[in-house]
Amino acid sequence: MTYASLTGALRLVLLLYLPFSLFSQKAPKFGKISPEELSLKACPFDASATAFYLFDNGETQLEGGAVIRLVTRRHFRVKVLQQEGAALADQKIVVYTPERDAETIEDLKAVAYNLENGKVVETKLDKSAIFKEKTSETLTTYKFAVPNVRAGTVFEVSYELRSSYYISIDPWIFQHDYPVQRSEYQVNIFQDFNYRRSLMGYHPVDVKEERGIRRMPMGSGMAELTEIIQNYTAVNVPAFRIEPYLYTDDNYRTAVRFDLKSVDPSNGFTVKVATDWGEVAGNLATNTHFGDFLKKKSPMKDQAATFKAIADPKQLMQQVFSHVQSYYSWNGDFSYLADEAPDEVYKSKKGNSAAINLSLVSLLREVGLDANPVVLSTRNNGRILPGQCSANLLDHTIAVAKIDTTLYYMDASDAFSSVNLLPPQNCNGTAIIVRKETYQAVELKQNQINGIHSHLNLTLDASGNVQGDGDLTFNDYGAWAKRWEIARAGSEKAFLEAWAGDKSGIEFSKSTIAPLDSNDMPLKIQLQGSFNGIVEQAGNLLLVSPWALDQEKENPFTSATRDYPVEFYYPTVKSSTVKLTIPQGYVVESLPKSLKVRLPDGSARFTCNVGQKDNVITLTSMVTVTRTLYTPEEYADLKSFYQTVVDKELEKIVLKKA
Amino acid sequence: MTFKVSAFFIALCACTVLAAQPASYAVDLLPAALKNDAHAVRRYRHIRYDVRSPENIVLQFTEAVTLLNSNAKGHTTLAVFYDKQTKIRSLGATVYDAQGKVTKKYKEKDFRDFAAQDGFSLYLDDRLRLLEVAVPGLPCTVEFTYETDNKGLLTFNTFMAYASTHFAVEEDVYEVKAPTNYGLRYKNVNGAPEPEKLPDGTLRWTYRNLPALPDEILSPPLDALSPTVWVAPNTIAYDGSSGDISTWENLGKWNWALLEGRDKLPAATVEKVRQLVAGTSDTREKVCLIYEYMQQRTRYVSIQLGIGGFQPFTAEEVDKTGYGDCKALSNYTRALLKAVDIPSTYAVIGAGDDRRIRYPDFCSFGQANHVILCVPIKNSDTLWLECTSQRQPCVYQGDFTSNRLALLVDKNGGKLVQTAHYTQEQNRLENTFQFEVKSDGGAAATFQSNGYAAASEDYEALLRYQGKEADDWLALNFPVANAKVLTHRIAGIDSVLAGTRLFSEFTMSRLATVQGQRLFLPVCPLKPLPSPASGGKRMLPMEIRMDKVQTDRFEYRLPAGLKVDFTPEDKFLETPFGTYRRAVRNEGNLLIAERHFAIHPGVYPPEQWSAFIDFLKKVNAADAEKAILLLGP
Repeated sequence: MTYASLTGALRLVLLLYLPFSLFSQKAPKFGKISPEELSLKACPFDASATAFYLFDNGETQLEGGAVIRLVTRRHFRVKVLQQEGAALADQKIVVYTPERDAETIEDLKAVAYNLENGKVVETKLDKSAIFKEKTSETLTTYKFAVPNVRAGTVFEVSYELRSSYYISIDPWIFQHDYPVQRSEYQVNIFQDFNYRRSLMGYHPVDVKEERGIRRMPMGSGMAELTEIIQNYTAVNVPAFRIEPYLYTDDNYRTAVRFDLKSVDPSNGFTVKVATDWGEVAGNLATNTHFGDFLKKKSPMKDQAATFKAIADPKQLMQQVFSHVQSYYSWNGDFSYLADEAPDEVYKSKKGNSAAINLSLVSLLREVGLDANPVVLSTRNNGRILPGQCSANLLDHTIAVAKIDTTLYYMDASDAFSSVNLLPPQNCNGTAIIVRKETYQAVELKQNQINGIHSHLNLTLDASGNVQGDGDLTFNDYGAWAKRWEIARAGSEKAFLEAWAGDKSGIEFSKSTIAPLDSNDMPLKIQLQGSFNGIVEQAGNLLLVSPWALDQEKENPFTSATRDYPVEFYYPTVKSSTVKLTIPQGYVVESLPKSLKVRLPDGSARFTCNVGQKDNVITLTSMVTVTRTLYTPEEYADLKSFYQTVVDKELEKIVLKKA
Repeated sequence: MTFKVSAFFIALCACTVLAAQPASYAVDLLPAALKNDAHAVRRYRHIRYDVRSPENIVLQFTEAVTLLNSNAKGHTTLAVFYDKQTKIRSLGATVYDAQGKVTKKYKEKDFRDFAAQDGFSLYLDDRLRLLEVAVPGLPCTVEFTYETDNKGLLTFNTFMAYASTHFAVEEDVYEVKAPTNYGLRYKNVNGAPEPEKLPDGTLRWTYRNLPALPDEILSPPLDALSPTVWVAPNTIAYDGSSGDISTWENLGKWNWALLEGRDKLPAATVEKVRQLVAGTSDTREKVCLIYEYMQQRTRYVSIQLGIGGFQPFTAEEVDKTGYGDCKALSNYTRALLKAVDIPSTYAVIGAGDDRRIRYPDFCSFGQANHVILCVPIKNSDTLWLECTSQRQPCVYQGDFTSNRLALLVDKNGGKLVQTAHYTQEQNRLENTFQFEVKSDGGAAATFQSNGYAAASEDYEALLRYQGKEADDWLALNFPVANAKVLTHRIAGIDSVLAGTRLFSEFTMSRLATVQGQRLFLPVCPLKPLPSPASGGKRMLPMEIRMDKVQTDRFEYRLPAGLKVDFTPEDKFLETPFGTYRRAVRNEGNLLIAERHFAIHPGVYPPEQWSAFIDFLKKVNAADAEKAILLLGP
């Protein structure tokens, strides 16, 4: 067997024509609806579904002719069980349509089938009811509403997507927001194109692979393509539902992804694909918006002279970072390539995330530090899996400085981060440090904790009034999160009002927050006021709720079960100390008992100690959660751990008049 | 609402000084009073409409806003909307630094072109030109100008002083020039001044030196506080349709012309609905049968193209496709009722919290945004049908459209009438809790909630959600904290007003806290009402919209060995904002707490804010009071 040259020479070879479809069942035909489908009353594997996909099938293969295209045919059929499920009848298909080489949708059909008086009534989607919306300069959305869809309807949609970006295979999503009874995807991959395939999500997907040869029109003749035909099937896929404490949902939705690894040039394809991060780094080094950006002298070279006077490298790095962070303001765009040249960014004082961090690297290098850019994919964008060169996922650039043998990471586009305190969205698995000749793959993790420490001194007087003074200190991520809260509230005053308003029964007479302008310092709130709301009278008893500043009033986990992992932004250490002085004439009737609990693996611990000396009662509470990811199987234990904390903090100090 | 807002504003005067663009936008030229509590200040705005003819109206727009801090970031996004009736003639922007020096100029080609999204329509033909300006540092000033030719306008943009809270106004000018026979009408509200009349006939309104409004919880919406001028023509021309809209009656005539003849139905459907109602002679029952039939056969899809923004799809089209927007579905239902000789009227209305027909004496577009169907019933209450909802009960008009004016549209023109109003007693939520208390402080319990009229909407999410989604929603919204919900059932209550009944079984690990031999049992263990901090002195009035009454009955069955030692005293609170009553009694091994809580709607002067917060705090404290139970032998 020989390969036809794809650059023009005709070579007709007679071959065995193999059917290209590996569909294990015969693919359902458009228009052939069974009476069973119409009379279904519920989704067989999800009794609560208001609609579900009977099937969702796709086929992708190269097609030739005057030009080569990658063609994907999709056909799906939905059964609507209740009115709410009719929302699936509102469809939209987004295609990439730049001025040249726009993708197109052909042969879009939709039909609804309803059983009326024992007869099947068909309603077709009118071509005039398909709207083509120019969503932006490069995107077009096809929008349509399948007509006559209500409880009981079966409807189906089919279309063809034709793309001239024939080496780019879109991911196939098996799991939608409604259950899918059967999703089958077949892709014919031309042998010269090598993809790395990744299966995402939890639901099992059956994979079959076969080799085959297919004849395809090419130019004015025929070509033979040796192909690897892959078939992916998933059945009874549950609906994907967002749960609280789940930030990276795309990582868990069952899908298959294709990342191009390399292209064999022996047949004339000269597509340059980075096969490993080394190549990516090499490409970036010569990219106008990356390597060239760094080659230019830093526009801050005058300030650099004053910084160079600082002897200690760590201090020097800190000063440079703070200066760049406060000088530039981020325009809200994540990108791994700068949007303007260094001088433009400097003049406008505004840039995307790469522009700011590349400017940072520039200035760090200018003052003599060993600094480099780091490219990564943020959490919302998807995860770069270890060992995979998914350059198409890159969406952010940060900076790293090496002093002695330690690496210090920083992101100056975030107004409140500091050295080695990266915003949690950056801590998303693999990141690549781009050095002039080489690269280094690293894993970015949250190195710091969310630290909250509070002290409260309360004095109860004979008439049942409580005066108190105290402070809360927020460390590391704790300070970062609070500074963002203050920025969003608009002012220190607005933040304190909202924060105090949350604590019923407490009136602050004085409260301060500091320091606001120094990101690497802990944030401290100091306050004074009357805490009368924490005391209740019950007969001749006084009940005091001691955890006035930061009581865990409710369990954050209310759901009975969980399908997906629990993700926390960062590990947490929270400690509270309360000293309550009781007046003469009162005795302690009962105190909450000390308690110590932990999760089986020790990753979460809660310790509560209560003691009394003379007329002073001291309570301490400490909650630590060191992991940022818990599996669904661990959910029940985690939920019960939080319940223990809530229950303990509800307990009162009971006093009696002597 | 006639509270005095004008006293709050400094010097609003119609001066004869010619309005002109300031020479400099330097920030230190800003009067200090305008910087107070402001994120941004409008230095200058000039809106000018030149009505050359009803089919040719030119709009010139210039606005310069100084951004004082990072909260003003929204002002860096500049957008102008357009559709097939509008042509953008010129478009540009300029950015100035704090000293008033130009740092960047933008041209028309810098503005990108997008399709407009309103968040609920499948497709609209509105588009926009958008630009994000680069800011050299704060403070700075952004100036935006454009000119559009309009082939017909439905309404002139309202001249509203405040774009948002924390926004001050230095100089703001609005002009309309129209031929004398054009018929221009206007209405000034919330202290807006009378216009001056210029020699060439232009009407000019000016706002000057208005300080920023603060963000205060429960304040009335911005359009109830801001000085505003509504301007409308007597006649309109739009997308091939023209008409007289000088009064609500005439607007109704114009709207009727768009509806007329669009109520024909296929013979099969006419036969179907006749058969459907054949079994009853009661009109109300017939209406409900047809309404429910329509609800099952159709769904809401919004497609707004040109005059289609006002003209519904024909009844035949809705019958064929099974979908439509509020106009189409209301018109379709009207056609179905007509087929069985029940008269009904298409009613245009302002729906939701923020929109209503506010000015019966001033007709204009912009006051309404929705259509429902009015069905009068002889010797009974009128039915107002929400045709876009598949779940709404036939007999109940939700608070989406109740308690306000609607414009009935029929062959006689337009007529304003009041929609249904439900009293506080009718909007009733009745809760009953039964607890089996255990000596370790835990409890097994049941909860039943009957909600009527507006209160029937409290748990209506459970009628839509299923399975885990419903369980999760209820766990989050359960009235008692730290409860583990085991089961729930929800159903409608057949009554003159809508009602829903929710029944649930739940457990609590820690209903009462145990300390030594004592159990401290909260008598009304409801989640506390949100009670904001009283903060400093309040500037704006306070608006409460809720008009409901809630009664709760808590029954605690105590096991042998647990005796009641102390119960809190009865509590009674009466304020202008609401009343609260709570009484606890002990009957053998049963402890019963009864609670009654009513909130009174209204607009209250800012001085009463701390009294209101105090009331909420007192309610929470009273709910949290404990009974003491003793573990005996």
